[in-house]
Amino acid sequence: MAIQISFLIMGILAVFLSGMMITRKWPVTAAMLLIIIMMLLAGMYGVLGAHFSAVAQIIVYAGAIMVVFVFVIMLLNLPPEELRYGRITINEIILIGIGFLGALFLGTKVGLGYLVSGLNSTTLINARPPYYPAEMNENVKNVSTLMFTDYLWAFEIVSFLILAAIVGSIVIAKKAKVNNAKSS
Amino acid sequence: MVELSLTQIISTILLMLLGIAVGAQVAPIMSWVERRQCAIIQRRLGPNRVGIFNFRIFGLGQPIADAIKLLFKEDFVPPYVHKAFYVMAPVVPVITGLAVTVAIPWGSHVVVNNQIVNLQAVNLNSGFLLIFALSSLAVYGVTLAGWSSNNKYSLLGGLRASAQMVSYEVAMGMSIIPLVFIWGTLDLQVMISRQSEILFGFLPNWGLFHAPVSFIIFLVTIFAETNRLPFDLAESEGELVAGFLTEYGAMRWSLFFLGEYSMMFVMCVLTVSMFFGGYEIPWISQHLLLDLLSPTFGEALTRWILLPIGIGVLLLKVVLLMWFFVQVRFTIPRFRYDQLMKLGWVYLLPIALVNLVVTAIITAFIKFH
Amino acid sequence: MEHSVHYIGMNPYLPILLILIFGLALGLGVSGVSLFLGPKKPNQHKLEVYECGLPITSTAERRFSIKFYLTAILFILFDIETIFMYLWSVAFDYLGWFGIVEIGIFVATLAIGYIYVLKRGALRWD
Repeated sequence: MAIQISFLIMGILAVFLSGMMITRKWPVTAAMLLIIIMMLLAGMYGVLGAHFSAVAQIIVYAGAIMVVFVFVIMLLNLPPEELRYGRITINEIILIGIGFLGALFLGTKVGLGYLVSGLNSTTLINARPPYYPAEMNENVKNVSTLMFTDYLWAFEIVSFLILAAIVGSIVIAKKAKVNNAKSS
Repeated sequence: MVELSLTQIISTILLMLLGIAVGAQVAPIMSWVERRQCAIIQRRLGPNRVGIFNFRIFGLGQPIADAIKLLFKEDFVPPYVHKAFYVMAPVVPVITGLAVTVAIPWGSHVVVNNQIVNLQAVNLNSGFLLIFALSSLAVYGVTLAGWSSNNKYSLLGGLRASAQMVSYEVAMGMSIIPLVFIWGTLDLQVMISRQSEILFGFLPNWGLFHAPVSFIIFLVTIFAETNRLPFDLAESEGELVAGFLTEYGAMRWSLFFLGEYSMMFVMCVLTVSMFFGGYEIPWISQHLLLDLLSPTFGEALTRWILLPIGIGVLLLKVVLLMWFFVQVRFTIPRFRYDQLMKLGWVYLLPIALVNLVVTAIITAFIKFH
Repeated sequence: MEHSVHYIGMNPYLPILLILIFGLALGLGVSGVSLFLGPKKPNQHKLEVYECGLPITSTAERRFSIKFYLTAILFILFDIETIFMYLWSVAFDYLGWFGIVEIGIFVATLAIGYIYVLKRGALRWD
């Protein structure tokens, strides 16, 4: 029961903070909120027993990707007067509506699943505390053996994706520099 | 099946308090140690006056006096800063610095109320990666401090410090992968108990002898991660006033150091646990002592006897390592920023990669034949 | 195996949450104490941006080198690779030589990217 409650609290907090995040005026505030959301997500993975995902979530998202976000915000260093926010267009309203409906659909599907099948028979509710010793020993090893057997191709493709990302970031950054040098 | 028991809760809280107590005391004690050591190197006396009542005890009262002084200084928030972030920035290193102390392995385990109490407040399945995860968040304290101060030196110092921290984090992460596959686990306690064995009949089975290159890379990266000299580019007075600390004063200023020293302490604990056998005495493993003493005292009592011994050994090793940190600080001059980045990306990272591959192949030959 | 004794009756994330809250309270509390204890004497020079006492030439609202951004991007990518390597290293014994070949291909791909970065001079700060 403790798992469900903590999961619920963290989930509600994460959704609430996401709402806060997209309505902030200062980009840095939004970035800091996003870091907290990432940590909440890590906590959610953790209580569900995905210890490795939890740690990886913090290391990669909160500790690495958000660093880039913060760097970009600070490197541009725009005062709020310069951050122009356009009017919301009809397209954006439609997109927001679709997203909202999708979330609602997923939410009710899961929620109805609980209601229809009863509180005791769904897997999520029935999940035993995953930090019981026997299961605890194996979590990370399970992830890695799966990764290197069943999902081997995905793993190798990821390495090429990362390679493409490395090359791409260098190409963009270096090109911009050459243009600047020519124009100035 | 494990029930949620009061014994477990109380012991976890006690272990956490031990970690917090030690982690928070590192900064004041080290401030005195560094000043004394600096004085010794420069043939001065250093702070040797302040004592408690009439006992001078080498000036060990100095940190207390410093703390009182800091508390009574003016709490000054400059008007041009981004206030919320300016206030929050020094708290971030404190949070992360104290949080990592939960992963310190103080010993193996003791038995209380017929329950095994693990002497590591938080023993996650992902092991010491928790320390990495939490320490990777410390970078925001520096970045936010630099940005929120609204001073160009602060901002540049903050950016430099965070770029430096992230650059060395890669080499750091890669350097200890060999230890994970040599010991076959992420769990620090298991690593330590493997290291209590004897290697080649005369050496302690320390990680240092299995992966010496990893140790060197890891040691260098700790210096960089904790912003210590020769890597304290963020605070290089000659060019950046005081880096991201420029606009800070009084207690807020010292909070950065509280967090930084606590982090440094935990990093030293990590080094000792992975490379120097943690709480195990070299050649005399706790296992051996347990076998020797159990007939006389009984197993439960022997474990209790081993607990302070283990903590003492761990702290002794950590203190030696931290003394080395101090020694380096006053011996090696500061790097230039381009040299620092070059060292991290052009030397340490490829060395760590090659070390990883070579160690993997050697280990595979030993393990799979 | 007697070495790996795991016996935790408590959700391990609860202590982490507790200590995060404790650190927050300690940090804010300690810096709040000098709010009450310390003096309050602001003057005009104290309120200025501190630049060693020289007149201020420019504000902090300026842009910095793209190098910092590039460093951070490269850090993400290499960090993700490190995470994958941790996964492999945990299952080292289980995967055996097969795992080493796999990670060898992975490291080789990474090395190509790294050499490219090096050749383009993206890591040069001077």
